[in-house]
Amino acid sequence: MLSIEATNINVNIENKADHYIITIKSDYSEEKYKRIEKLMRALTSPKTEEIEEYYWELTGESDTDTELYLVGMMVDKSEISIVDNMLELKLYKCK
Amino acid sequence: MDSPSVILKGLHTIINEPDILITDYIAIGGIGATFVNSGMLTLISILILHRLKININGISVAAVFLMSSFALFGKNLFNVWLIIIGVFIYSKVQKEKFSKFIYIALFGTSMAPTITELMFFIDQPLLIRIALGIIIGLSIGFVLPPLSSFMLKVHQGYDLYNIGFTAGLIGTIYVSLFKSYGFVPKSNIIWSTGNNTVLMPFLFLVFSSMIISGFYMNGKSFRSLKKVYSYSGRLLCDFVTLEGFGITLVNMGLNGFMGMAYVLLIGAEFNGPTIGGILTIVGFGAFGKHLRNITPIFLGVFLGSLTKIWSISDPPIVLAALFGTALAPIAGEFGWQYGVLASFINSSVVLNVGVLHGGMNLYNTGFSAGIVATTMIPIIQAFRKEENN
Repeated sequence: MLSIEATNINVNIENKADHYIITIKSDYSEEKYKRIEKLMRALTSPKTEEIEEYYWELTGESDTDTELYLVGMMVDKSEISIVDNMLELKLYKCK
Repeated sequence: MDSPSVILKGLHTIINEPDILITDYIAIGGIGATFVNSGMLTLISILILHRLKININGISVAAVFLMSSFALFGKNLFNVWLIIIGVFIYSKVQKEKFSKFIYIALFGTSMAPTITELMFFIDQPLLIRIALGIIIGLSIGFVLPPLSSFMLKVHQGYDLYNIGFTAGLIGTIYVSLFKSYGFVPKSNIIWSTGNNTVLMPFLFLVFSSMIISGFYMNGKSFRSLKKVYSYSGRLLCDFVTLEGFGITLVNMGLNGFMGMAYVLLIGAEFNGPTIGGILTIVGFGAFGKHLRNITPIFLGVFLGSLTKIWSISDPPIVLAALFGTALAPIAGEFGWQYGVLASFINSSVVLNVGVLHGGMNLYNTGFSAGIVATTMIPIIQAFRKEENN
């Protein structure tokens, strides 16, 4: 989010019966719109269990890589939308 | 190439002879048997992925190519299964689908020579050798999943051959135990020569067809190749998912030609291990490697040859360059100069870590690369933070 020059980021986590929903809302800079496109591509990567099982320990280990593709492969579903200049990400992860 | 009877005899020899580094199957079994061994292991790997309904992406390509490449010098139709079964048992104990661990199972066959050594070459009665081989083989596969995942944190994905790093540690422990009971693996270098005129055209054909097919699949263009080169290559860098299969195929073919060019330039032989090294670079052309991040690795080994006591065409050094491209992400992320430095250091480390696992870890350079990456990355990042401040 910081890479798209967000100044107001809200994170919400819902613990449902059989899944979690992580909702992130933030503003963004228009100049960084290409990064949002990259974010969308990354987070809509198909879920790949065999990659998640092996590579999940890489998440959060890098100062230089956002690892968004890895996150995309780990979540079960993602929804991305832009409403009133606010970016909203919803990530679903089954328990 | 060879008649069926010669191939069968060659396969028998390949299975019964030691497989520890460096054992060129072309030298011990002949070209025909070696390529049949490689072809069959490749097809079996693809069949396993198909039966488990795995979607083919960059890591699938890398895993299959790793089976093909090391089947030229260390993995064979007999010695890979116990490790795979060990991973399977782990998945059942964890009550998880085996498909979740398939890449760990395929990559984990790096320690296949251990099975051959125990079953055929220790001084014990047959039943004990078989029992030991089974127990040790299964145990290697059993501990690989949790260990290999954990090891990623150590080098942060800057060693592409993570399983090599993991297997190096496992091998070090096992071989230490073996030595305590009087079993000392014998190292050797079996290295075929004189086959360049046969093997070079074959490689040329394979890599050309990759580039041509990829070009057509990519809408008859090399569009996105520049984007491929923009990635650092650090795990997880799946070019098939990121940029598409067509341009990935082009990248793989170009990597293959780069590997060939290096072997030719230094006057080395095309044989099982060197073709294995080139095919590994090709396979990882779908999963992190490209010309921008592998060239500094070759340069680092070349610079090492100017000042160190070894020659650039010594067999272990040839492999240090080809397999040292495991450190390509360091060049890709931090710049070519760090890639050169990492490779320069690795070309010495790799010569001294093989003794720890007795040559039983085929991904020896992955082991040394893990040590180098683990040491260098925190230092580079610390100085980078200071520069940014």
